[in-house]
Amino acid sequence: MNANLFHQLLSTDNNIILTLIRIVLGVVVFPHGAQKLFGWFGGHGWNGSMNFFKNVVGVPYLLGALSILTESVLAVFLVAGLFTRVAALAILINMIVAATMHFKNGFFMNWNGNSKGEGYEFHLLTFALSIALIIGGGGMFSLDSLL
Amino acid sequence: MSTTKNGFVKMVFETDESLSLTFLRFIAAIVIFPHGAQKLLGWFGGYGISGTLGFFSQLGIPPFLGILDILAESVGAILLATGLLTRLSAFGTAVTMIVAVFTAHISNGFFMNWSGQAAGEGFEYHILYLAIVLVLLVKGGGAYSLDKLIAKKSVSDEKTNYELQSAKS
Repeated sequence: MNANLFHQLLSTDNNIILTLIRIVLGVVVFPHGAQKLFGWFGGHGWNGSMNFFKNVVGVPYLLGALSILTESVLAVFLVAGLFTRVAALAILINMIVAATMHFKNGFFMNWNGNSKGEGYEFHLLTFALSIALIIGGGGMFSLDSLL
Repeated sequence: MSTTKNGFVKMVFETDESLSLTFLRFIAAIVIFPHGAQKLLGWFGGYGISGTLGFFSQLGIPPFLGILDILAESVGAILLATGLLTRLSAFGTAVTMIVAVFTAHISNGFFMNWSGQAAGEGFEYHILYLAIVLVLLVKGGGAYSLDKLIAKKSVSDEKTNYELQSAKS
């Protein structure tokens, strides 16, 4: 990659707000990835999740694998502030795809327990945080700022 | 204009040209408004104001706080969308989220009820919302906010006053 472009991708300022956004988004997304990758927190683990993606959701193998890696490995990258923009973009795309799968349940989460599933308002919140990171980068205490 | 007044204007309205803040503000508004409209107007299958206050009293939330909550989620959402008094509405919705976590969601754990098998919704949603409004509370409304216009006007007023004073002396 062009060195200049690479630096632009990592460039950020000493902004602690970006640090907060990065850590919160990473910490919220990671448990979902750990469920799918390791079976932590009552999750299905890699095989179970891949089967679920293939048989129930109908997602191709490669996309399922990318989604699991995005929610696990790239969530850790976000917390560390490593390739923040790339990680944030991957999480944004992951969440857009997830949101389309929740459209049928409408906007609202299943707050009263009488809806047939979760809506997409949760995903909208992740859009806001990942867009802010794509614009601003990793901010203070990020590995990006050291590279 | 007195310095104290100007300091106050600065504290409430001052912000920068950040587009990130605009995104955060819009999405915070878009996500919370339907909740406010449910509670204030009974839209989207909501209870409306009296039904909501009745529900709150069952949770042990006094009407005064209930009304503030309803205003934060409805009027506050419109303030967030326009970027008017961004910090005030960010504060209001932040309090709303914290109260929601501790009155209703903490017992359900972290996760939302994704697989439909949990007793209810967890608090990961509220963490995301709190991060957004905490940013707005610290940094204000950013680009395309009315706060930005007000802050700019206040600075130019100050300049005009200063020029008038200098001209007199």
